[in-house]
Amino acid sequence: MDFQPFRNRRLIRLLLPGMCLLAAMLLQACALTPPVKREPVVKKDPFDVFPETYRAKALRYEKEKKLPMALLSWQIVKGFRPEDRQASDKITQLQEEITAEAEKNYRSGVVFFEEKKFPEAQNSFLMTLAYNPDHSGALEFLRHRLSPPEYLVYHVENGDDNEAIARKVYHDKRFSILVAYFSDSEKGNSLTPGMSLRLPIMEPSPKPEKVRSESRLNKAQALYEWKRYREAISLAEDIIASRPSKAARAIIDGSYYALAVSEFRKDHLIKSLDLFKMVPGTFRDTDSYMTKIEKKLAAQAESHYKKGMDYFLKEELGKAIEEWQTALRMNPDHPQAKSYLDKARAMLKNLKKLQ
Amino acid sequence: MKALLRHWYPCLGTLLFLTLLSCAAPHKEAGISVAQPAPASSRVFKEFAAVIVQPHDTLTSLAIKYLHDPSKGWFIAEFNHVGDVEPGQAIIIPFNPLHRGGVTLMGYQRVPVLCYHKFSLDKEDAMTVTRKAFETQLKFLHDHGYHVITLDQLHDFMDFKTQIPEKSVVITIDDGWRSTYDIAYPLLKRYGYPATLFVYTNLITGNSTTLSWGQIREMYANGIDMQCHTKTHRSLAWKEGQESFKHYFEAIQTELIESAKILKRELNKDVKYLAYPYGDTNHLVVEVARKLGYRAAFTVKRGVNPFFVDPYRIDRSMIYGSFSLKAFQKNLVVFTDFKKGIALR
Repeated sequence: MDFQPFRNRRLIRLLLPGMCLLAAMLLQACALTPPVKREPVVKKDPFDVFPETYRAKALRYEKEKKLPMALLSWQIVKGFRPEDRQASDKITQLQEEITAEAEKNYRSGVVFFEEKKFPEAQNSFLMTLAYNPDHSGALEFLRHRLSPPEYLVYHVENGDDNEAIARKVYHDKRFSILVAYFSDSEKGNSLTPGMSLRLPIMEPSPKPEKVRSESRLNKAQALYEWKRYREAISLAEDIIASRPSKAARAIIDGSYYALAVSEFRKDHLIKSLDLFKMVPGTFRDTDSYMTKIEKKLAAQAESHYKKGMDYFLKEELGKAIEEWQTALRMNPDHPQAKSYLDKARAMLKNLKKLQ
Repeated sequence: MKALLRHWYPCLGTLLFLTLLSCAAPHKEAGISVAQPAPASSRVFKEFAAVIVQPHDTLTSLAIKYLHDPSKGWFIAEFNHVGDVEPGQAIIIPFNPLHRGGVTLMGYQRVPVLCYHKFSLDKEDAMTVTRKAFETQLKFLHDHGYHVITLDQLHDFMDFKTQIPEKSVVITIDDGWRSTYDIAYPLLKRYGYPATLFVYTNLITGNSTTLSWGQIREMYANGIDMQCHTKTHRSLAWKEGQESFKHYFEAIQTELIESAKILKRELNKDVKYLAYPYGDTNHLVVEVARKLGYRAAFTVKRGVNPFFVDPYRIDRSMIYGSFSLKAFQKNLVVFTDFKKGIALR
């Protein structure tokens, strides 16, 4: 390809004025063309949805008597439409209604309280708070006055010391350590007349039986878990003494079973058998254990019986009696041990007489 | 001429460029803007914000932005009756709680506090829940819209300061058995549920059945709060045997002070909550706990708690290993309707 840069440059220089002229003409035409009259693009405000939605909600809440929610809904409407007359009027009206409802419920609550209708009083105070969460009176009743106080307040008098207060409050000077602790006088704070002391109530407040037994049942369960079987049995038996309880029964059975198995493993067969006898045969594999133990004991009883016979033949009556007694402990139904034991005892008695 | 043209070329070029630019600019006399800025996605008022949800918004991000609390996404969801947010949705975010303490004109909220002890792979008894049962229970909470809250959230609710999710539940585990780490902790982590372990510090020996402080620290760093369950787990409500009153009173203090000191030493945290061993308490124990600075304390009395429950006698429901899912559900009552029943604490 024949590349001639010099000739190309010349050509450009020749054509350029013409091109510029053409461009200028085009631009002029462009500038003279009247602007296209476009309609302004009005984008819909996405927030327009809020006031009308919440106006509808507010009206619905009013109908349903959900006044606080209606009030909030009108406040939302007014946020978007500050000039909205309906919203302003509704807000004023609802605020007044809500205050009136709160007071009405509070007054009912106080009346119920004075009539000792505590559940009804509680609900009235809760309704008060539903209308007016800042109602301190209703809150005070719910928190402190609907339940009996769990502490007492003592106002220090002239001449009081810890012991004197303990005697006055608890009728027992031993509780002066409590007064010292709760008044901080053990830390060097002095008891000044007029000072208020918050002290614990020491009289045992009887708990509802159900609560008390559930708490005790939990304790028995925990003792069982920690393998403190004797304590678990004792507590569970206490529970059963006051009312039937399947759960307490299960703790007792489980504890006796665990103790019995433990004795069996140590080969303390009689102890183990005695413990298994405290458990229903159907509890886990109790029956099977008992059969095993009874077989083992029968065999051991036979062995002691034979040893007894040996001593008997050697005229060692004391040792023979011991062996047969052991045999009978192991197998109370041993066919010969009982009769030989009786014979040996009689013989021993006669011998003592002769001596 | 050539030289003249050489000087004119740049001028002509610039003129051409400027003219074209002016041609492309919007026609001001039309009064419209062809390229408008993006519309605002929210309008903030004194009591609330109105928000058009954007593609990047989530309940959490909105809660951070408008309520300054990432855990308050549920509040936005509950107010707007939505499960989640979608771009284009128009929602309102109120700045203040609407039902402090869960009190409404219909009734009032109650919070179940669940109490577990031990877990196992297969064995079950009163105090031991199998992994399968525990997982089924957590899944039930998740699938049925329950929110597991912390003790601090429960405390704020009881303080009548705030509102918590309508279906709130607290999970607590007592003692410090190893199975808490091996079985419960991984499941709680999987569901993202907070829980509180009430530790009785003498149990923390790190043997085959008990937790070590290393395991406790790991759980504490991962959403499991640690609180006090005394030092030796003796009953605080009853004197032991022939114990004198003086010894009994000192023992209550020791149990509450020493365990708190150990937790402070091991975890560098101040304990605020107490679970009474066996759930036993009395007026004296309550007053000592209060004086020592415990904010609240828990029994094992079965029940669900309104905001006005005595903070030193909060009910907890023990979840036994023998519980069916139906029995478990009975412990999850979260509301008392004024019309249906009057229930005093």
